[in-house]
This record gives sequence, C-alpha cells and structure tokens, in this order.
Amino acid sequence: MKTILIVDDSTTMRRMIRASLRMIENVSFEEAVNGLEAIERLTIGSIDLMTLDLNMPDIHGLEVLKFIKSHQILNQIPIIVLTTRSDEQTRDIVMSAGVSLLMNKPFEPQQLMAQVVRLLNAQSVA
Amino acid sequence: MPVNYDEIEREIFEELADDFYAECDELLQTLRRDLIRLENSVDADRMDKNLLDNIYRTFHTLKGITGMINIELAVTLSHKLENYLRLLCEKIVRLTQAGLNILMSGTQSLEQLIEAHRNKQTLPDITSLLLIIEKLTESSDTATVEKLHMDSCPATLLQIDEDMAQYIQDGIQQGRQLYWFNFMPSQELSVNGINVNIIRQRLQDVGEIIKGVPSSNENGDVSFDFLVIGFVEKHLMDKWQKDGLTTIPHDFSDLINNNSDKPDHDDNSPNIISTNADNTDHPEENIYYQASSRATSNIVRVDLSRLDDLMQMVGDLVIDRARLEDHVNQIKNTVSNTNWYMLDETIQSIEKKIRNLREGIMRVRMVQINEVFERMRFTVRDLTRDNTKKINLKLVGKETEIDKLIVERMMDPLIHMVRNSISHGIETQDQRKKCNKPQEGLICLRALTSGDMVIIEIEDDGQGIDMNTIVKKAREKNIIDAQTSVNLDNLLDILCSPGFSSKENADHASGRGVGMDVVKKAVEDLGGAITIATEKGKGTIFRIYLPLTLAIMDALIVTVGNQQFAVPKLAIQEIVEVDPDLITVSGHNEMILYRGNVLPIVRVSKLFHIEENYRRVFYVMIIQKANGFIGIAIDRIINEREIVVRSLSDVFVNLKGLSGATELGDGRVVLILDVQKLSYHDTQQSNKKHNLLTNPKRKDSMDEPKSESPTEPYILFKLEKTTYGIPGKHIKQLEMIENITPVPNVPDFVEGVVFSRGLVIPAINLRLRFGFEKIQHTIRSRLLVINDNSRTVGLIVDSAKEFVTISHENVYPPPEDISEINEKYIEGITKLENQLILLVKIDEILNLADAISLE
Repeated sequence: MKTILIVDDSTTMRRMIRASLRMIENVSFEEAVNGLEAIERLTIGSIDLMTLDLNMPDIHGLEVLKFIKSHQILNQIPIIVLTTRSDEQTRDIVMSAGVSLLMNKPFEPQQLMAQVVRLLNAQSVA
Repeated sequence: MPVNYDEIEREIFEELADDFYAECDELLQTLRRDLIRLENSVDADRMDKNLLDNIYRTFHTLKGITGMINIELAVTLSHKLENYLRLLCEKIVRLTQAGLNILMSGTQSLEQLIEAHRNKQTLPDITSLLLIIEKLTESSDTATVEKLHMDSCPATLLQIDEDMAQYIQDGIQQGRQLYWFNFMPSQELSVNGINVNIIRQRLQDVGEIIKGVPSSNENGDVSFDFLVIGFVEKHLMDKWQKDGLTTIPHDFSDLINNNSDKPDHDDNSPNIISTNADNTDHPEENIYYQASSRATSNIVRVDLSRLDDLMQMVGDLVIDRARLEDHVNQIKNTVSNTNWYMLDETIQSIEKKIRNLREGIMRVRMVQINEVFERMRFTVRDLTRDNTKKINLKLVGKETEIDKLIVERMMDPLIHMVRNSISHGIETQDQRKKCNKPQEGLICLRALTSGDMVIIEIEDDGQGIDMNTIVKKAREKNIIDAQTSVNLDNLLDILCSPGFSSKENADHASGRGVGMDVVKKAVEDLGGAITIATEKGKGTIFRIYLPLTLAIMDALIVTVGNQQFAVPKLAIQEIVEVDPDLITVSGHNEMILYRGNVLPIVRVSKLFHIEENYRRVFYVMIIQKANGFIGIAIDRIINEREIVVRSLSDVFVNLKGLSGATELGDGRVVLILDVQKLSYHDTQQSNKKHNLLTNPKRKDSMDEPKSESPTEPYILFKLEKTTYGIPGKHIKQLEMIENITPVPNVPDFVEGVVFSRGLVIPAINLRLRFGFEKIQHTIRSRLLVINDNSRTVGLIVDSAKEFVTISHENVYPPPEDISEINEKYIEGITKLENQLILLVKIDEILNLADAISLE
C-alpha cells in the first residue's frame, strides 16, 4: 500500500486530485491544506509521493520545497508540483529545487494519474 | 476490458461540478468582503499587507478553479486581476480609487461569468474590462515581481524585515510580549488530535503569529518555530508542554534594534524592487502586518439538496411513526398490559429520537444571516459610486441564524430593497443639507429572532414615501380606481402590485428582474409576511417576518365542527376555556374579558362557514399580533403532534389564513391555520383580489404551440353522457378518489384538497366547473391529476378510460351548440369509432379570474 499526500488549500482541488488518482490500485490518500501541515504529514506519516500546490495561506509552496530538499530523509520523496503559474522562471526555480515533475493547472486527470503511477513504480524499483 | 479513461474523466467532472461552483461562491464572497475592507487603503500610505495577500491569493485560487471547469474568460480575468494585485502587494503601484473600482467590477464580472457558465448561458462580454485592467498594469514589469516571489524564502524564524520589526516594536510598546514557540509533532500527538493546525489555533487564541517556519536539527527531527506577539499566561505554557509545545527563551532586543537600525537591502525586504521608476513617486509607503487569521476549519460543506433529502426522510418518518401509533392504539385491548407498556414506551422513545434527529438536521441547515448582510455593503458601494449620495450602512444582528434555504431565497429580494432604499429613499447630499439632515444617509439592516420567527428590518432615514405620488402613479397605472385613496394599510399592496414599479426603478434593478411584487412573493412563499411604515421626510422601514426553519413543526390538532385543523404551537400564547354565555356581542364582533382586557374573538367556524357542533364550552387560543391580542375560537383540542408542512400554493386554494397542509397518518389532508392572518376582514374578498393581482393569468399560455407530430395521445373521460379528451402530456396520474378535505371560502367547484405523491393539490369537480349538477362519487369516479404551467390539480370525473391516439387533422373547431356546456372550455371536437369526443382546454379550466367572476 502506497500513501499519497495531497497538498492544496482548495477543498475542491484536493477532491479533484483525489478523484483523478482513485483508479490507481493499492494507494491511500492523506491531505494537507497548508505548508506547515504538509511538512508535518511528511514527517510523521509514511508518505510515498506528494502533490504540492504553490499558492498557500501560510508559507509559500517554494518554501515547503526548499525545506524538504534540504532535509536528508524527506528529500527522497517524489514531488509533483501543480501550479497555475506557467512562466519559464517558475519552471526553472521549481525544477532546480529537485522536484520530480511540474504540471500546470488545469491538469488532465489521466495525465496526472499516469505520472503518479510512473513515479510510484520508479520508486519501487529503486 | 479496457478502462475508458475519458469516461472516468467526464464522471469526475460531473461529480465535482457542484463543488467547483460552491467553492467559487465562497471565494467570491471572501473577495467581496476583503475588497470592502481594502477601501480604507485607497491612496493610503500604509497598506494592510495580509489583506492584500489574501485578495491576491483568492484571485489566484479562482484562476485555478475556473481553469478546471474551463471558463477561459474567467481564467484570463482573474489572472489579470491577480497581476494587478501583485503589483500592489509589492508596492510597484499605488492603490487608487479607480483601481479599487476595477477590482470590484472585475469581481462582479467574475461572478457573472461563473453564474452564466453554471446555467449554461452565453458568457457576458468583458473585453473592455480586460483592456482597462491591462492599461492599469502595463506600465509595470511583472517579471521582476515573479522573481521576487521566488527569492523570498525566509528560512529562519528570526530573519524579519524592517516593517515587521516596526510592527513588533509597536506591539511591545503597547504592552505585548514577544515569544518564540517550538512545536515538535509526532505520530502519537497526531493520533490524539494535536497537530500543527491545532497548535497554530492555540497560539492565535492568545496572540498574533508573526511568522511560522519549519526547522530541523542535526538528527533530522522536524519541528515548527513560531514567533508570537501577545500575552501568554504561565499556566498555559506549562500545560502546553505535554503537547510538544515549548517556549524558547530568547533575547529579542538585538533582533528588533538591528532590523530597525539598518534596513537590509540585500535580503527580501520589499524595497529591493525600488528600481522601478513608478516607485519614486511615493517612496515611503509602509506596510504593516496584521495577524494571519486564516484558521484551518473543521467545516464540511454539504449540498443543500442532500439535507433536503434527509429532511424529507425525517418527514416521512414522522408520518410513519404517527401511523404506527394509530395502529398500535387500535390493538390496545388485544395485548397484555406488559406488552402494551413496552410497545407504548418504544413508540415514545422513537418519537423522541426522531425529534432529536430533526433538530439535528435543522441545526445543520442554519447559517448566519451575515452572509446576506455583508453582501449589502457591496450593493451600497456599487450604487454610491457617483458620490451624489453618501450612505452609512449599519448591520445589526449579523449573527442571527436562519435556514440556509431562506437565506438563498431572500438574497435577491433584500438586495432589491436596499437598492430601493438607496435610489428612492436616501436623498442626495445636497438635498439632505437643505433639510438639515446629516449629509450621510443611514441604512440599517437588523435581524432578530422572535419566537419561531426571524425579523429582518430595512430602515432608512431618507425622504419617506409620498402618498400623493403613489396615488397618482397607482391611478395612472389602473392599480386603484379614482375613489380609492392610499394609506398605510394598502400602501404595501400597491407597491407590490406587478407593474407598479416605475421605469426608473426597473433601470436600477436591471439585470436582476426583481420588483417589489417579487419580493412580496418570495417572502410569502417562505411562509413569511412583510410590513411597511413610512413618514414623509423622516424615512421608511420595511419589516419582514420569516419562519426560522421550514418543513416540520409542533402543532395542536383542533376541531371546528367536523373538520380538523392544525395550529402551529409556537404561535399560541395560551388557551382558555370559554363559556358561551360570557361572550359580549357588539354588532358583528364578539369579545371576552381576558386578564382584565377586552379580547376580540374570531370564530374559525364563521370564517370558514363551517357548522358548529353545539358545546357547553369552547376554546379560545390567544394569539399575539402586531397590534395586540386576538382570540381564535375553536370547538375542541384533540392532541399535540409534530406535523410535516406541505405547501398549499395553487391559486384555487391559496388563502390568507391557511399556511399549508399536513397529513396525520391516515392519508387525509389537514389544513394548517395561519393564526397571524386570521381575521374576518382579511379572509374574504381582499384575498381573492390579491390572488388575482399576483397571479395574473398568462395570456400567452393559450397560444402554446401545437405539438409538431400529427398525432397525439389523449386520455378519455366521461361526464354525464359525453366523452371528453385531454392531452396525455398533461396527465400525471389517474387515481381513485378518497379523503377530500374541504377548504373554506373557495369557489364551489373546488371540492377541497387531496394528497397526490407528496403534493397537496386542489380537487376540482369538473361537473360543477362545466355547469352540470353535482352527483355523489361512485366507484367509477376518478381523480385525473393534471399538470399545466407548473400547476398541478386534480379533476374529478365520472369515469376515465385509457389512452387513445388522436390525429390533429381530424380535429375540428367546436360547433356552437354542441352541448349545454360553455364552449370556452372546449378546444375542438373529433370523432373516434363513431363516437364524438370533445377536447378540453386545460388553461381555461384552471383560469382563476373566470372562477371568481362566476361567483
């Protein structure tokens, strides 16, 4: 059983992501609505993959990223950043922070699912 | 079998569509509230940074959500607004009145776009608005701003910018203290419900969180640091320790001083972008910090229709329980005492639990009226933009709770009334000056709970309503004749007549399609009432009475003659037994002495023309009305029950004095008395006039296009010896006739009301409607339930047969002397297997105006 952490402050967006991934077998979901909660869940739960929104009420998604990537254990977790920001600069900064994948909102549910499956499988092999 | 992913995607979107729209609504509401608060920052030197951030993020979230539901225009619009906000946040541009106006109209356009998309209508054109916003932002280089966002990752708790330091210093001078808290989360704490969100809430309860950041030590243990300003009591800190929340002693003095002494231009201070030319115009803007108060909530959003389903189920349960009790009572003598006792106890227990269940669901449905009230700020702002009028909007009782459905239904009517107050009530600043009134007009919205009612008042201190103007206008529009004068009693009726609203009025309220007639109808549909008081030169006050909740209530079941009625228990102050000899008669009026005062009495029997059974004593229910007490006389009180309220809305049976109907478990309709409106004066003529006014017969319905197919199924029925046909598309069902409950003061041909699939519908005796003699129902008599223009009624016919197909080409206009019935009820005539069939005109049968003139 794999656990996916969905981080987004919008309830509907979390449900949407969850619904997009519900066809994947053997996964369970956890949700976080802000940056600190996301870090807390990552720390105390056993999370196999995280989807992360950048635009959040407490700390910016990039701060969450920066923290995770500087941590010796948490930095192994694959992260998919979902954002409405689509400029080159954002992409560069996000990707250089060591994110596995950056997807733009609105996203295609199928695509998100395919990518999540790919990342989870790659992780199992490793 | 391959999985069809497209299908799954479609399902996902369908399933979540409502959620998307609901969240949009919430976000828009937040936006409206925040934008109003932003008004204080127009041209101001100090900006509330948190507020700006919130607005910025809300636009951003809206962009994401509207993107998911593919409203391209809304995405573009929110993106542009978001950009503008970002410029404001980073102090590249200054907030002007024009800018704020654009944010407001942008928000309104977003709302319209989303609403249009939801209703699958054409989206409004926003090209010009987009151009204006572009103009507003074009002078600035947005890319710089993007970069800033990326770089601004304050990693440690104590790294703060000078504005923040200043804010802290101010706080300390006001006697507050600065704390460094550290929270170490763990699996164990989390299981016990202690997590970072809860901790944050705790800290917010005792102060303001200036900053919260994650940190980790050399072992990789993660914890959270919070910088809090406020006052925390020692015992709280001790208590919090076991939850992993500790204070870290620290001397902050150097932190604050350092920061304020040398503003650090190399870090993330907002001044870093002062390279922008615009900024030199106003270099010394201060951004002050407010506590971040976006608490994470435990709120679950529920679709109202799901609650309605639950409520419906509880309603059915209430009726089932009543039925069970009746059945059990019937077998009382056949079971042993012990068994009886247990049965009885169980039934009582079920009743109690259903009651709790019902109250629980009701509570879920209750929301604060604030939702509506806050919206009014927007309306006021919108209408005072030209500055000829100045208005102070006062909101009182915002926390009053009311059923969500009522809130939704009242939103548009209230907006309309506030608009009216502004455009017709409050005078311009110049006019007010001349009248020695304060230049700023006052509109006060008040909500309060009183018994089982919520009262909403809309008061303004404007010019009041000029009766002479009203008289003139009403006569012009043929709403009153030349003899009738206007006074406070009929003023509201006139204002609420369809067609009274002036042209001017329609302009202001354009796009909403709401007039005072619609306001009145909305209130009455909810089982409420509306009153008006006005004084020339002083102002006007509308008072709306609404029920707290709908659907189920406690009622007394009473009898008058042989008919049962239900009376809402909460409406009754007291019940007294009255000896007929003690009644004083004065003309048509009867009265008794009640607690030393004269109490006028209204007999339900007289009102509804019901024959009274002789009794030694009868009962009087004491009712408090706006202008004192009255007594409602009835024969007997049977018991107290929970009743499920069904609406009684068809114009044939919709009378003042009746607020609905219910069922007690035997399938028979029991009428609910609206005791507030029972009086000899009201229930008679004025009633029907009113119905005619608010339900004008729609002429166009007669010209309904004929079905395009050459043939159409009809159902055949018999009256006397003639066969009639009625189009099958109007037929809902065919029923045996049972239990018709008579309704007082209705046209003769309305035999009463019956239940049909949960609806209370009038039963019309078609024999009487057509002018034949009335006969006893036989086993072949049927109730033909038909539906026309959203009205559902039952027609009582001698007998009815199955469907036949009739082709339009064989239908001829009715010859004038075809039968003794009025030809206006007949649309045409056709022949089927040597039998003549008259095709009836449904809208003529259901025409109320004609029914009244017959009387």
